[in-house]
Amino acid sequence: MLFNSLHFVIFFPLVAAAYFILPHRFRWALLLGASYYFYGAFKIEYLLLLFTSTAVSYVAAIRMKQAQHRQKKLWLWLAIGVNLGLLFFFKYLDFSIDSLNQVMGWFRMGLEFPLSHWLLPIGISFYTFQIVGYLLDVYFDVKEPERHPGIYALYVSFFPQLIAGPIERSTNLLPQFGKKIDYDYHRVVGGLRLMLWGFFKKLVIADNLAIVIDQVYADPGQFPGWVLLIATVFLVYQVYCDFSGYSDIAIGGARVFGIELMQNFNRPFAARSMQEFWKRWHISLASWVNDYVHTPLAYQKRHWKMWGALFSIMIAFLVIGIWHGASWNFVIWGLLFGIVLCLEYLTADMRQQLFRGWPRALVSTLAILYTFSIVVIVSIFFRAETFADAIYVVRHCFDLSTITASQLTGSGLWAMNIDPFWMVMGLGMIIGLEIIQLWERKERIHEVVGRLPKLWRWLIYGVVVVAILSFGNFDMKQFYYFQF
Amino acid sequence: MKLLINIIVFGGLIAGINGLLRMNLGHIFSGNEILDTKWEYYQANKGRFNVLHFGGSTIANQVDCRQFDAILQPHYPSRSFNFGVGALNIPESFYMLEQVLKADTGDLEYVVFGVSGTTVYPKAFWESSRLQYWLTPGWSAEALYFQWRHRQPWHQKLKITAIVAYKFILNCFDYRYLRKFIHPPDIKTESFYLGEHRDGYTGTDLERWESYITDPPENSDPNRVIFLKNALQKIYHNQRDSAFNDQMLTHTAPYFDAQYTPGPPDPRFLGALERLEALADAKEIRIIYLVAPRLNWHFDILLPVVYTLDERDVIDLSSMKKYPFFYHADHALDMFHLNELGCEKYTRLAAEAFAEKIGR
Repeated sequence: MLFNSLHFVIFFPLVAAAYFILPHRFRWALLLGASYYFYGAFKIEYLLLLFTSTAVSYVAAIRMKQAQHRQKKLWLWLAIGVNLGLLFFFKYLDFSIDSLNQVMGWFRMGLEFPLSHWLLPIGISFYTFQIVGYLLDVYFDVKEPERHPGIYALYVSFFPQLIAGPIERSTNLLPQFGKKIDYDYHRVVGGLRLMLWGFFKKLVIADNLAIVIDQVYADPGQFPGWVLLIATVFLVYQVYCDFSGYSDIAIGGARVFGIELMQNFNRPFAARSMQEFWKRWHISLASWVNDYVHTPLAYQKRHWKMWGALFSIMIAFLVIGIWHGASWNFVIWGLLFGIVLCLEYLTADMRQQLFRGWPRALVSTLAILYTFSIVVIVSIFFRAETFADAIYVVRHCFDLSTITASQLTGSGLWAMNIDPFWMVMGLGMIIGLEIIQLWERKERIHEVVGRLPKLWRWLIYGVVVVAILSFGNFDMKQFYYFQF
Repeated sequence: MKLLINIIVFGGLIAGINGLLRMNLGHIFSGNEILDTKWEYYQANKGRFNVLHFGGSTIANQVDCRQFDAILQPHYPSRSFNFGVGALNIPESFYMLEQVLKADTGDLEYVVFGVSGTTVYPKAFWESSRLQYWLTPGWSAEALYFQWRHRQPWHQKLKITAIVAYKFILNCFDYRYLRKFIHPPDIKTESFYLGEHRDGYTGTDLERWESYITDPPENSDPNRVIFLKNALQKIYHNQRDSAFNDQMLTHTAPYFDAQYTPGPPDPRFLGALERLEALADAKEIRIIYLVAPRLNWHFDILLPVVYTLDERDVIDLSSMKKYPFFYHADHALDMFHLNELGCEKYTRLAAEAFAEKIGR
């Protein structure tokens, strides 16, 4: 079930109403049933996979607690192996076979393995990482294993964050399912307000930016450099609004039930370095990789000194890249981020000396521009259909020599098959969003709106709802991150 | 409870404001590309036309405006526009014709209304905006009435009732028409939907439809491509399936036997036509009804109504006895439509009859 479907518009209030009517002790069962229904609505077969991952990790965590050192490790690797194995099988098998076939083709070995063409179960990367995080927490005694199978199954499948995160930590989410939660009008309204803002970002901003992006990225060779550049800037904002919109709906939806999920985005385009960017963008994944991959690896390789640090950064970003998708584009996308972070690590002292004495505001502005430019360039690999397309866009998007006055007119854009309305509208939405983000330096916009006088508050709700109903793209476009 | 009341009041206000706006703005937007393109174009060029061919696919694909106007020239300076849209059946067609008449500014003199019977809403229609934009309280009741009157199983009738109710609610919150005020219609689609001569006639040239589907990037919207592909497959399937056609031929033939006695006309069908005629009279527009040959059961409800209408206002080309060639394979594209040869004859006969009806 998609958040932006009418199915969800009916489903969510019914579950929320039943949740507060039911006594506390039955609520986990309701949420679990609702979560399985939510996931099964995509494809009923997915449930079997979700159930297998849940059952294996539930049993393994309890066994780990009871086992001695070697056996404990065995249970850990068994459970991680099953979960990552399923992830590999459904997500990376065809990619691996295809890559192997290509390599064999280069060597003219005359052998080709058939592809499996298995359908990628939605959200598998998200819940697999959540499970692996839980198993590692139990293994390292950060968390006691959850004994209640229903509560544990709910931890894995909690519907607001099941499909596209935030990837929750067992220490944050599991204890909340045991708490008695009373109905609180202000909390529920706060959650709904955040959901509304999320829907606006997804349906109005992200989906409408996609109109120009889809057109340009379908055949980048047709377009001049400046159009490629604008489409790529649009792409950065599309992915941001799509994914942060989903996160807002997820966090807001969970808040209605009294469950607080972790923040997933924090004004990422205000970052002044790539390191800071990854503390603001997809926070739940970045912190997961930092805690479970980067930090342990850096510690383990500490005797390599600088090379150990660089190695752990590259491996962490390789994991982030591969997590996003089974294609070389994503591997390159992750590695590019890794390289930039390594360069930042190596030049930290030099940069500090270079900019000493410069006005702070100027340094900050330059740093923000630098970070954003890197994000724009790297994003090309995130979206391009093929590696060749990505290279083409990278090579041409800063080539402004082909720009002509006639291209900038409405008919000039039409001649390129680009609707000028969506071009202007896209730029307007991005500027509007940035103004709001500037405002959000101190407080999130939905919290500010929540404190306004009643009349103003309802007027804003009305405008946002009408904007969604009139400009929302209701063609059931999936959330971008569902593919991961 | 406070939250529930707030949401209901807020929802009511949003729907209420929408209702008020739409009542005052008239028809603007349906969400269907073909219909919207034809509507926008016709509204922008009203002064150019004095005859409007209005109806479903039997108008859209079968009445060639240029041929019609050429035949009429010795009798009447006809400048016609084809406002036919596939599957525009009653009561959607009643609603749309009402909007056309209301929006008229005095240029239109005749409407050739390709009147049809009811159809069971196919599943594809349930999801489409074609079963939504016109569902005001009054027209929703009409839609349900005709669906319940149709021969179909009970569970199907109940299902359609639920869908119409659901679509009615969706329509209350549909503000998409606001886009039109700042986003002009997509001129890229006009040449396709309005035909080569921009008179709304699209013909039944299958190759043209096929090239439309396979010609990216202009027409690469995946939803439209899938829809058209399905439509084409259906057409090809029907063409091949001659056994089914024979069965339908046997089923339809009795309507044109001498022994056929039509039942009483449907009062709501007649009532809707009377309302439309009253509206047309007030605008000094004459409605001429055009009945097309088809191989399906829509004659069941249509013929009793047609036989009640004033003969001077009816061009009936449906008779299997009088026009048997329309039912022959060499004139037919599929069960419901004529091929190029059939269309040419159909337009000619319609134009000649039209000249006779208007007394020129």
